[in-house]
Amino acid sequence: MNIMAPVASTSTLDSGYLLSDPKEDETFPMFERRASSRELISKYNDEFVLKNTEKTYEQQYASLYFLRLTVLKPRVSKVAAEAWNGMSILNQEVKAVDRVLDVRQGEFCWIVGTVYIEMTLKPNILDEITKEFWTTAPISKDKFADPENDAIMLEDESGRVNLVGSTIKSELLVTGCVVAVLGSETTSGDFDVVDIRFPQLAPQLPRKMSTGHERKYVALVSGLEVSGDVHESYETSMLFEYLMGELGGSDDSKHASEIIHVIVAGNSFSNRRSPFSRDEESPDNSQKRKKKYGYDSSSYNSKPTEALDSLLADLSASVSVDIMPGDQDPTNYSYPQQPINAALVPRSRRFLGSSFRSVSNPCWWDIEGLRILGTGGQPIDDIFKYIEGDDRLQMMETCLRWQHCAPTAPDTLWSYPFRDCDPFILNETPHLFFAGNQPEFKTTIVVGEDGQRVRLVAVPKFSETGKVVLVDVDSLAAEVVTFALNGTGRD
Amino acid sequence: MAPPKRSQSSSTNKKPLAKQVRLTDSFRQRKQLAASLQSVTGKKLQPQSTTEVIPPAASQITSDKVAESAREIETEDEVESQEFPETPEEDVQRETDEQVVPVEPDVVEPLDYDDPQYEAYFDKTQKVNIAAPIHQQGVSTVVRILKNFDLTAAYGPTVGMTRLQRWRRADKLGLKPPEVVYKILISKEGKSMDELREGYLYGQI
Repeated sequence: MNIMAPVASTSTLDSGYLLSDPKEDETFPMFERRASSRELISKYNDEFVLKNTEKTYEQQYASLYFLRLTVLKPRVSKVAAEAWNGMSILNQEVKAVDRVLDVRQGEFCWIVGTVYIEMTLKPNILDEITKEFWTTAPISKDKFADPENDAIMLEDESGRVNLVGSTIKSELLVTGCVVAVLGSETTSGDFDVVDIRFPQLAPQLPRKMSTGHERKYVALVSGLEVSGDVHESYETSMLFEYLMGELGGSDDSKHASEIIHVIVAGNSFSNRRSPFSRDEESPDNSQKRKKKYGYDSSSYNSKPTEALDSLLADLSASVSVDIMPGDQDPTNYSYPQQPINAALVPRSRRFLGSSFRSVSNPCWWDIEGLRILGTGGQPIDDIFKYIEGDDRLQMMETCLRWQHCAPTAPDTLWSYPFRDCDPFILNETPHLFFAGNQPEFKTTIVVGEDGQRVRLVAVPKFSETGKVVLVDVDSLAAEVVTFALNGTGRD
Repeated sequence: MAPPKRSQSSSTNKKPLAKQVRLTDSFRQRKQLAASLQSVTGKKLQPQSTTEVIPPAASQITSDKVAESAREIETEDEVESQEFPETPEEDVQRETDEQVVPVEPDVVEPLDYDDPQYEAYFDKTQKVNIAAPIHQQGVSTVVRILKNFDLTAAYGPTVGMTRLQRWRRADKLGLKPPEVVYKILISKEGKSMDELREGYLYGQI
């Protein structure tokens, strides 16, 4: 993977431009943003946005796993058949076995199922119930993976079988992905794995390349964490001024005018409490605080919402913006997150229908022919907790190869119990796949067997890094623009 | 012409409906029409063709009020393809079955419990069994067919949805669920009786 060098205003014109004397007959060119098509792919997004009249919780999560296996099993069987049909191990022809429990000892065969990893360190609700006489403070860990003791199993409608062998230990697997494994049953009833196959990248729609010479960028930013108080970072206002073309010289404005769409991907609202309300709280006052409508309204801090609203309203007047919720935002917590209600941002709401839009998490876009799949980062963060490695881009690439963008749902990632279709299954590979709220900026291009090319972008948190990612719609190149104050120590 | 008055029993626990909405008026009209036809003719509805609504010529309609309703309904074709929710609560809880292929016929036919094809189909499904079924005296073939459909693992979990929803889901996924079961489930009893409409674990889970 290559980390692109940050592109700030490094043109020679601008370094002297801002510090020079005003000229007599200076003209200020007005740059215009070209109108562009930026749509949501409704056949995928309609399944993420659940209508209140259709949401039911009577079904169990088994339906979701059933749907996942039924849809992905033929796809992975096809890949496995191409790889293993006609192969013979130890002079035995390998054959496909329909049910996981039908494997026989000594026969080499391949089976398809959902992976389930029994993790000893995963927090289990049953532990709390059994330990009712004494409690220990739960040790919060970053990762719950324990490679020596975790048991990897393959499950389908008939049952589960334990997978053993060195091949399976080195593979990146999480609970919920559908794979095909080749091997044979051992004497102890486990399945010794020789080879493993994923569904691989789904087919990709060809990109319609535009004929014009102007460049078009999609700006991705996440983790704004707008708090609205006096300690608000200056970088946030610099970012919005840059996107509106008000920052820097004419070169910067020109570059900003090439941005046709801005996606704010998650965690735009800060959840820090206002410092003022806490100071006024005293033990006497807290009892007298009235509870109207069942909640204490004096502890509500409206500054983050108001600040974000005014920033987004200014931005929406200049460029089309989509706001996607993250795990700290005021919308539901379970995945897929519903769009943030536009009533929270009343000034930006006036642009609803023209340049402002509130979208679900995850979301599919089609911007000038570029198909984008974006998440707020929760599935990748969840996968990170249950595997050994750190490489976020590898996790994103493996999600594409599993043809599933959130395999740990519903096991550890809270999810709605879908009954009729699993909307996280990728029926096509996007051209750009990004995950927001990641610790650092990383990007790479993944190439599939049939020539699919996907740009993967891990969008870093703006509040920590000050970076916004610009992706070129035509060439899929990714640049990053960093905003920092001198002396704050950011690169 | 004024729409016929709604009967008291059907409006006790329903949400107040806008009087101007013709579609919902027609729901009630159709239900009443079906009920009144049954009472007028004294026998179950046996429509001649599945594409028409209730053809006035086939049944012995003598009441003017009922004939009026019949004429009104024929003009509203889109109402016919929707499923009747039994209570308003079901409107909210269950999603209406969308019109995925196969399309339901316009008229809800009554179920013939003694149809020989059910017996034949059920015997075919029981060929894999090694022992005779026990405690099944007095259980009709239709109920046994539906329970067998519930227990077929290939069509997925049964909890939390009606059998028709499960059938449609299996159909959409390409698992080819049996047509016989579909015919039972879209019949009049198949839609109204809990025993036929819901899975065998309804009320328990």
